[in-house]
Amino acid sequence: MRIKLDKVTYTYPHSRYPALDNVSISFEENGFVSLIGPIGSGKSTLLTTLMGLVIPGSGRVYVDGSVMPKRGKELREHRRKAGMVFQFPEMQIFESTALREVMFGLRNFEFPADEIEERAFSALDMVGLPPHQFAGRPPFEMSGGEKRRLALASILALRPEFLLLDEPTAGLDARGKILLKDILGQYQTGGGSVILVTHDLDLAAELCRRVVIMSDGRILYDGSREVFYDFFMMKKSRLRPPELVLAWENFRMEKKVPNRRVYSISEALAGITNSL
Amino acid sequence: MISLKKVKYSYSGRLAVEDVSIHFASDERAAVMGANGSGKSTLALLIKGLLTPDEGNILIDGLPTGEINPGKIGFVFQNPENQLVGATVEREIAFGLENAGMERRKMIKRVDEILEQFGLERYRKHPPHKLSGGQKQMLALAAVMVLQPQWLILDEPSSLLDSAAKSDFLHLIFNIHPKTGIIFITQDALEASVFPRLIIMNQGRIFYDGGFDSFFKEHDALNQAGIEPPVRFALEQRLAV
Repeated sequence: MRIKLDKVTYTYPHSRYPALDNVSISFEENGFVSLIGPIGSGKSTLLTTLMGLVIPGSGRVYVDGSVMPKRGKELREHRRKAGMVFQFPEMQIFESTALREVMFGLRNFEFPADEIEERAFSALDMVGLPPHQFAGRPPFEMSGGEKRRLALASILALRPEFLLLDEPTAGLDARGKILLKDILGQYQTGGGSVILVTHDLDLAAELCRRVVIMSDGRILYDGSREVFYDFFMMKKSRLRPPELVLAWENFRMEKKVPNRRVYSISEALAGITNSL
Repeated sequence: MISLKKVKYSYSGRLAVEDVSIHFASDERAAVMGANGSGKSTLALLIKGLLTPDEGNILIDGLPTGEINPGKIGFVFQNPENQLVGATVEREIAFGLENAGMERRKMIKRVDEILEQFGLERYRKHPPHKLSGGQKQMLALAAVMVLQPQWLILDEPSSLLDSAAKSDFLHLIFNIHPKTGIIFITQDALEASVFPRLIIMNQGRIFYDGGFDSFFKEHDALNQAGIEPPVRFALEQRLAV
């Protein structure tokens, strides 16, 4: 699937400033993309536009070369293929058991009964909530991290081609973040693509080879994650580089380690070992 | 002064906070960290008086939580959706002042000042639900700080902010009313590092109470409490192994 925005502008009612200002960009099935930028720069609006929740004031959105459907079955099918996990998705959980919660979306999309069960069980498994333990558990008895993963399972069960995530690590502890990274890794191995809105630039650097920076509703940068080492660009974007990049650059200068770029702690350690 | 003595609290049989005894001086600034489910939010709700301990007691300046003026402790939830009620940004900020019976002219001036301090002037006529997640978190803080509470309890209030906005956020809570006592719950070790006192909770109990650096150099303790160290520490620790 390919989603393309062509000169899209969108202004929220009551606002004088566009949330998206003449945005042209395209996303294809090719792994992880992070969408970063200061607060209010238009990241979440772009995400909801890709899902078909926001209809542009001007410009067009194309899905596989055709104009994005505005209603009906085609739009529903598009939303299944581009599944979105909103900020604090655990606040939207309302079913009486974890299994029923995951099955809700599948029923809405009218999957056959036997497939609903199979998909729901496998999605619970994938997010580390084994069905034999969690299927019958009421969500309100689950921890915050478990509920977050349950909300993710509800979307993964639809087997979207694109997973759109809005600040998925907000409020998660260290273990929760590691589990989330594992889940996203599995989803990618299965052929899925992720568009990740996050303020956690260390997470973005580790997971995403392509980085899109937004500012005041515009695309300021669209390219490789090497931008995290471009301190001029980061400053222009009003962003602080990932902590790993800052720590690594300090370390590199002090110890005179050869110039190379790392994006995770394990890469940094390998870089150090290689240079000794 | 906030004093907790042997406080215990359970949610329908599930223990959330146990044997917590801790004191905060009136202008103390403390960060609280801990894994999900370690009891941080429950502790915050108990101090605010939104929950009542099953055992033990909590005193605010010598009085039980139920007997103090509720405006004395300002509370910011992690998800700003839980506390924004105004039709517009400026009405959200004016809400508490109106309730307190502030004179209109004075109130308008106060709202203007806060909007400017929090960088929200251009959104003053916006409905809060149209703001971005990060802007909503800024607004939730602004609406609480405008009331000049003696204490601020903040439950992961900046989880949707970028690092520059996080610095602004900390600057605001430290400087608008410098005498305000602050209890700041966070998962972000970098944010916690600017507080003189760090409290770590683990399985409902106080696991650590002291300075920041000494805790983060102990990586066994970090693992036990399920806390992610700042990247700088993580790198140094791994290199030392």
